[in-house]
Amino acid sequence: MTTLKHISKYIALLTLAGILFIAGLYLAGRIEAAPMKTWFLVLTLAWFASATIWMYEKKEA
Amino acid sequence: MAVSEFERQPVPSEARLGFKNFLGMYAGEHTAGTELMIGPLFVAAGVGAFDVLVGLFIGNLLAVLSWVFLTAPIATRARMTLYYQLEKITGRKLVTLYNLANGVMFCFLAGAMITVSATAVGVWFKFPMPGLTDMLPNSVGWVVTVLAVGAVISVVAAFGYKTVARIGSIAAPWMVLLFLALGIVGLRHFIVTTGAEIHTAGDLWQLAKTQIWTGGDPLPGQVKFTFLHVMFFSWFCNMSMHVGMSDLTVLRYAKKSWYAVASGAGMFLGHFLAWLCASILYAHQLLINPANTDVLPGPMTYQAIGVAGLILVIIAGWTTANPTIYRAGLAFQAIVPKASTFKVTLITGGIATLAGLFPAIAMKLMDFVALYGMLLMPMGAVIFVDFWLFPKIGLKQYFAEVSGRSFNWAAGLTWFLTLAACVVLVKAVGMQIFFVSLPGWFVAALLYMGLSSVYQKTVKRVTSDL
Repeated sequence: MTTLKHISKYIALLTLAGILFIAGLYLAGRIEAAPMKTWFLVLTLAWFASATIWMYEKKEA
Repeated sequence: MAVSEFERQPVPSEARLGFKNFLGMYAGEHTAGTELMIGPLFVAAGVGAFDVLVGLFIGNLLAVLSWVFLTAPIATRARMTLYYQLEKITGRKLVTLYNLANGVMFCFLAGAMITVSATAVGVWFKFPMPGLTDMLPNSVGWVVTVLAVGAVISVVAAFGYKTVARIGSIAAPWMVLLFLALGIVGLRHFIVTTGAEIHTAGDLWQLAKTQIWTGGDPLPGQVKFTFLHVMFFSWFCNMSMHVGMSDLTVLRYAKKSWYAVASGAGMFLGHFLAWLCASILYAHQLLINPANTDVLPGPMTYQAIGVAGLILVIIAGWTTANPTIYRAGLAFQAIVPKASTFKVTLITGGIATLAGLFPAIAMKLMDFVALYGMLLMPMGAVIFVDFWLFPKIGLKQYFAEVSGRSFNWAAGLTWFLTLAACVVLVKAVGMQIFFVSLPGWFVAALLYMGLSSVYQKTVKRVTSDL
């Protein structure tokens, strides 16, 4: 369970970094609007899934 | 922190909390759906770049300093909830009136949040949504959607407040970053639309003042916002919490007074950042089509970042409406203590939903927030004066408790006369509502000292005659 907590924590933090990264790519004109929007949706869902698991594991610990 | 614990006793040392607890709480609380309304309303108010950037910085800083120097010192010494402390000073009957006023204002605020969430649903179902100057609902689709969204929010608040609160905690960091992403995406849109070339900070500043926050006339029905408007609005928009002292209930858990600095997370991430980012999107909307003055967070964020934007609007609106409806319910329940929390929360949610039908509150949110602060500010002055000044001038603290009275007339008259003075300042003198709470606080403080010196002597004389 501890491993799951660590994995979910790092995925969660990566998704947050990913949001900023995608926004930065769009600002620099390196990514089009449609893939940008798709990435934001994917990262949003990934955040909620991983952060929920992380919080749950933290509580269990 | 459980605001419903230690309701009628000081928080013991073993229950006090560390700094990090307050950071997360403040950041989450002030990154709400309503930020997506307020940011655009600055642009609608014709604000200029310097005025909005510097005004927001100073105003939010003043808000943090108010929490640090006004609220927290009392909170960490008395360790009581606002309601309990106020009851000792003003008496049970006056606190009941305060609870009623607070509850009603919370209901309307929650209504605005339901309105925000409903605009996200509107993107999918494509019904007409209210415009900037609409006061009444303008389509059947809007009415049905607001009722449905409000019903869901109310039922969940009544059944599962804690679950939504947990979702809010999880969502908070994501919301902050998504707001930032909205601003970055909006900036890109401006660069593409205007053909601007940004190589230096100077280029960015030029874009900001000539294309984004251009100043000029406000849109129809909006008040022109200057630097002072921005500064006072951002300072006083949470007046009920800092100067008004309602965050005594939260900060009583702080181990040290300086933990109130954590409110900066809410002010600078939630307000400063979120408002600016949301305003960039709206400014671009106006640039593309000056006739499209609608302030609708759902379509605006959907256009910018797609479905993630709609999820943001729904969650941001919901996770802040949830505790707001719950707090309003607690305020009303203090008036009818035998009623079940479940029923009271449902009814409160129902009132908030009805309020959300009327776009007037959301479209005039800046005025409403200023009114809210003004309404509750006098009691904050009463608490401040009672705590710090009364011992120094020979008057009794917590006079209602000491004298066994249920209505402290000095406090009551202070409240009513201060509000009357503020109304006179607004209606007769022409001072705008955004500014009136500053002189109002001093009026309340002086009134409470003067009226108490007479009232306490009168009560002492009457009591000794008996």
